[in-house]
Amino acid sequence: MKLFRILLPVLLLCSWIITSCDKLDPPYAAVKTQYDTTNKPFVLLEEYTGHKCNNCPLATQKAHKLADYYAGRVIVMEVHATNLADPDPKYTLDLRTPEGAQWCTDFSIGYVPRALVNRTPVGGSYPVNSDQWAAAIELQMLKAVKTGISARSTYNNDTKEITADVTVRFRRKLSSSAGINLYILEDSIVGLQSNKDTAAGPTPEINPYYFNETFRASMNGTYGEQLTASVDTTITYTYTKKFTVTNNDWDPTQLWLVTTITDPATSSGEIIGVKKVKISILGR
Amino acid sequence: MKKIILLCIGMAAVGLFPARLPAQDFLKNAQITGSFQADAALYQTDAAMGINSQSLNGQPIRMNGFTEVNYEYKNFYAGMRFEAYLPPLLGYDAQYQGAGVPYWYVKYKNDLLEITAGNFYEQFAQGMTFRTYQDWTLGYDNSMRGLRVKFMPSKGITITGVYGFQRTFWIPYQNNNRGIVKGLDADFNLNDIFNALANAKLKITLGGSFVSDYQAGKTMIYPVGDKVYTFNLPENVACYGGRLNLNYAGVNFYSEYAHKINDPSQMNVYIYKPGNSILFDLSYSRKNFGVEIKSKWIDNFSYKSNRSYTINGLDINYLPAINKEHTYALASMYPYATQTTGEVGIAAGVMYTIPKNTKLGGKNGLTIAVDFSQVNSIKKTPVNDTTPIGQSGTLGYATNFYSVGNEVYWQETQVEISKKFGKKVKGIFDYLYQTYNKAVVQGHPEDPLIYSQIGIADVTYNVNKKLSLRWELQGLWTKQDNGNWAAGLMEITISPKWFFSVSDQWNYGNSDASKQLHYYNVAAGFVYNTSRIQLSWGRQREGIICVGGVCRYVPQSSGLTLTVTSSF
Repeated sequence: MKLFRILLPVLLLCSWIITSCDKLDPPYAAVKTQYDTTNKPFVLLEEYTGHKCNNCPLATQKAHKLADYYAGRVIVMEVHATNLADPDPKYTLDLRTPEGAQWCTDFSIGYVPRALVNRTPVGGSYPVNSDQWAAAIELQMLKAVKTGISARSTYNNDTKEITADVTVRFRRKLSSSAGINLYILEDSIVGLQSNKDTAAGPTPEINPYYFNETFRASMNGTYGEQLTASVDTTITYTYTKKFTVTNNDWDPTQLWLVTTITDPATSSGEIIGVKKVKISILGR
Repeated sequence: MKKIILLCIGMAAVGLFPARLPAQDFLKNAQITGSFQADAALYQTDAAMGINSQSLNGQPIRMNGFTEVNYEYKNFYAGMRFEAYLPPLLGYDAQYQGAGVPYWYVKYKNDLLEITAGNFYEQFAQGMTFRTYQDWTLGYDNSMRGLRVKFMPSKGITITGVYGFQRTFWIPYQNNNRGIVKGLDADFNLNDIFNALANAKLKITLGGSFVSDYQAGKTMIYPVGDKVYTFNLPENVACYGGRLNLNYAGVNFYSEYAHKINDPSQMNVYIYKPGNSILFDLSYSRKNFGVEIKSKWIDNFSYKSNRSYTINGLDINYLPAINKEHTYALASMYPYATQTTGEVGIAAGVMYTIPKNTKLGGKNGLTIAVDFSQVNSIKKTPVNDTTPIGQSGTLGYATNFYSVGNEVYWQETQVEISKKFGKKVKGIFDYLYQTYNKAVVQGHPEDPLIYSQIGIADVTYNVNKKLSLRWELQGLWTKQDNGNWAAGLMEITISPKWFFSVSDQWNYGNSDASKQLHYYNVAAGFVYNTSRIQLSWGRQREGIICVGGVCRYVPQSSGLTLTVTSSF
């Protein structure tokens, strides 16, 4: 009996220790082959970044690598926010936006680089660190395709007006209404970027650095507008919006339109569909 | 809701341990203690510092505050802490925004057992395998929520078990969004255990601990270079260690070693090398004399309960700092932060008080302290000819035990003289020479090594029993970073209730003339029993503050701050 009283805790302790150690053997990693996009939804990876963030170029590189791996199913949008996006005499570009600042607060971004993936919480938190982006994308890829979006957008050189024409078909019924957001992105903005990873480019700065997929503005408000009060899968919904460009720094030849469809029944306005199209210039 | 839970647990505890507690005794004879602190700020724009309304994000009024209440009745304890960050002060993580009760506990304790349910702070030895703590200045809290049992089967033996998850801001535990931490520690005081050693001059304490963290997910997708990989992940990461403490006739020796199995994480950029950490501390002290030598070697030893965390938070363990912490403004301008990916350090200090009525000691004696500390990188070599050092998805690198790399992270030599000049005047005089690797410590790869010399004079004049005056004069000279600084302070204390101070830090050596700013500050405070109110106005320079090698960024700011503290 005495032996049993000693042996039992020892055995319990040993079994706990053994089951609490997952020692792995090499190889620790395997190369993944190209992703099969059949019946997979589009996903928005909304990366929060800043030109004074020296970890950001590597994170942005990872975002693009994931976009390549998921064969275009992942759409990247770079939102410049937090104090690391503030301009100063050295980092003169100002790519901040009121919408970005608001999302930063609302989604508790905290620091950069972090991202929102379809504005869906992962493990109770909206912002996702760069090593977990793929895991968050995988969760979205498991979901059914809920929307079919087609979009067309033009820029009028004379009026400096961007027009977006969007049609949406729902493949699944939603519990309530549906929202729509139209974001303008710009590629190839040239500036200075802080960097600490040689894998991403020269250190301590990359100059010139090409800021791509940079969020410039929302055409229809920080959180968009309602597309429909109730969703009917037999109806094709249309939505048209105009937006006048007042910032002369924008290069109209480098603009893109990203359309997202949101489910307002979720607290964050979870994104259930994304489409990215080039904004063409009228008369060209 | 949490109050209801607290009440229920309290009632359950009374039911579980029916130590004949009449209800009126439970209230009447109980002891209640608590503390309160509020730090509020009204930030203002400051054109010279580049602070405009946009930098303040439209929220110039901010406040961090907490109230903690602890209840004790015989063997029963309970407590809670309410916190509010509305919004958090500048420099604190924005994720703290909000208010609530992140900390509550109930505890029962007798000679054999101590059982805690709810939140708790615990530390195994120096913390190399496990430490949860809260530091208000750092805005750091990694408390455990779960169960803790301490078992004291006989005198000199303490066995502690912990099981739970850690706090991170206000984020609730759900869907495996952080690890479940389990730990066991055993501490043996041999002099208490064995009668034969009870009166021995040699005091021996030894112990061991085992901790494991469970994080769900056996694989993850991770891009490296041109390819995308699937990484295999350990769901259970174990860390274990042992320690020994010997004390004999004023000589104390302490050593602790810890080992961690493969723990790929964002902190080590997903390498699979096991981690090691060792600490030595040898000291001797007698009247008027003390000497201490410390050393540590850390190899890939970040241990967090969320492998994707890189910020301060969810640390399961703590790696003790061996360098001195400074309170003087310019001496603490370049504080050292522990490098969990690898560092090796040594620190030595000697303190001697020259006796009174000697040639050097004078009428009141004189104390001299000399300290030296240096921290370097560890030597890392590739694991094979084709894998670069630190390559994700591999072992990462190889190193020998206690290897020393060539890169200096930190070095400091300090000489301090303390002297009383008669009954009314005393002074502290410091000289420091620091070498600071800002590129590594603060992650600014563009910055060169900073070499700085610092001189400090701190003189206190006690005018009478009630009134005392204190002056500080400081200088920092460096050719790197922001150049030279000068600082001064004058403080008036009217005991026991009032104190006033005026101070300035002037960056007169900044190569950019527009940044040769004065960081002035005016403060007044009032003390009433255990309560203290302080109001100050001025500028705060940008920098980092560190406590025990853990650091927080402090942005520059300008404005009015109010601090109220109280305890009961």
